[in-house]
Amino acid sequence: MSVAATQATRLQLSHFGRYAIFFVLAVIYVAGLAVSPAFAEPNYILNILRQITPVGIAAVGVTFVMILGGIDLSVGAVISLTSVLTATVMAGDVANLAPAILLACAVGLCIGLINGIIVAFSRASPFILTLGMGVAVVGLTQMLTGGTAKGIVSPGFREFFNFRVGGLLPNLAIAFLLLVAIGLFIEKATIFGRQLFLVGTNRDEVSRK
Amino acid sequence: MAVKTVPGRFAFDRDGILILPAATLIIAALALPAFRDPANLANVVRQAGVLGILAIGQTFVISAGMLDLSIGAITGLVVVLSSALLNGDAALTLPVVALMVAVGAAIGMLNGALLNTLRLHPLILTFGMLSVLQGAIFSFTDKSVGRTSAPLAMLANGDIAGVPWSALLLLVLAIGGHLLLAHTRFGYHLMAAGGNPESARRAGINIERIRFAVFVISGVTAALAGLLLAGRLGTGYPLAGNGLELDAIVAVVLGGTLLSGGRGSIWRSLAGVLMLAVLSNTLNLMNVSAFVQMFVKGLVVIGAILLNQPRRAT
Repeated sequence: MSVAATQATRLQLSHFGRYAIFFVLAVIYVAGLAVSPAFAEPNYILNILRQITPVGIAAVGVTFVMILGGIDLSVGAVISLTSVLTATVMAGDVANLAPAILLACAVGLCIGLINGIIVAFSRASPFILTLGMGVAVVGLTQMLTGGTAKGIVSPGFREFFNFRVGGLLPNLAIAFLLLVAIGLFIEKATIFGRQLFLVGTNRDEVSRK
Repeated sequence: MAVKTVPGRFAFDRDGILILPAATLIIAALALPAFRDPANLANVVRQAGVLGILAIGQTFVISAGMLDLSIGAITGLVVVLSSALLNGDAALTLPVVALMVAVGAAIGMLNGALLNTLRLHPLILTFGMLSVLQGAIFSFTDKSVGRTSAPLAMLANGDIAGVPWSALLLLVLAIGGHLLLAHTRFGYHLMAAGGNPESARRAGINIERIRFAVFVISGVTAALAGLLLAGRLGTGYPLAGNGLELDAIVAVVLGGTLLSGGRGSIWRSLAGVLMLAVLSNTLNLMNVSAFVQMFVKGLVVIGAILLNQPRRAT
């Protein structure tokens, strides 16, 4: 993408433009309320929160990549691979819970590490790199599963995440909110977060200092 | 600014990427007798037709520093619409072809106009268009509809003296595209606008008009690719175009075109397309499963991007 063009757009981002998403969200919510009274029920809202949790958690990570001016197209493929790995390793047994979770996290970490090392130490375009990584990981997932659903999660795993605290707040939503809070903390309150914005705004200028 | 390298001489940072397709081709030809078979070679070229046409359009877009993710969905839309409208009637071929090209051009115009007025990032804008078009396809039909006409099927699958018609079509489009991109004032301005929009603007180039034009070119080539794909499939399969935009981008990048714009060549992009086609054909001849093929393709893309190191930081 042309650097000058994106910088021009960034400068044009007014206050309104920056917070437009909240405005759009409010409009859509009000429209939803007008169509169905269900949108007023806490249970329903929390249900939506539970449904968007997987995408939401991935979005927390991708936000950092995009603040830096990069892009990660491989996250969808990584989600597929780790969910297949989790279910396959768990094989319906509680004893396999910890190894499965550790393995899934390690695999995600490794793929991110490879992406990160290549982007950091070469001038490869993150777009094409993570596109290729995504294709490779989808291929790997298909090789593992033979193209069908495979594995079964440990008993209690699903129930735990779907459990609603006080009959209302799903654990999955709590996990999401917790990760968002951690993400926000890193973004707003750490030196690393500040550096992300600086590097994302002007890579050459910052690295010289 | 377009990177100036002495024409005709081999420069590793520019041409090194071409080693990959050349090596694939030579290894496949040496190792697999079945690959050398003229009928198989004709098949490879035939398979490359759709992607080749898409890659021509995407070369214009990427050289101008833009990106068009909506082409796969335009292709899919044209496959479904043209098959539904034709329903096997050869007499309707010309009007339907004209209509489909108009549809492609209209979507391209919409992309270009929205990009210029809203100043959105092309990636986000065309991804939005992709979703809208996919929605349109599925609200129209969720299963295969209609039948393509005999002339389109002939164009996609037939040959003349052993040379596939689709290869000839691709060649004609490539020559036209090459002349437009490399030998006209428009092409020269396009490279300037892609390399450094701000300097191009200061030099008096209307970069809005160029961006508008590349999206129209991209929409039209996607429509042509859709017509060819409909001819190959014989029917309007709603998922036909899925993922083609990414394959086209990969092919263009394999050809050594920088995603940051300002550099690009139709012939290199076609070399990239040929490489993907040869790779997939070779793996097929070796009876490698589709899943392993996908894995290999991903690794090849990563390998190619590591080989293709642009000189300037992007």
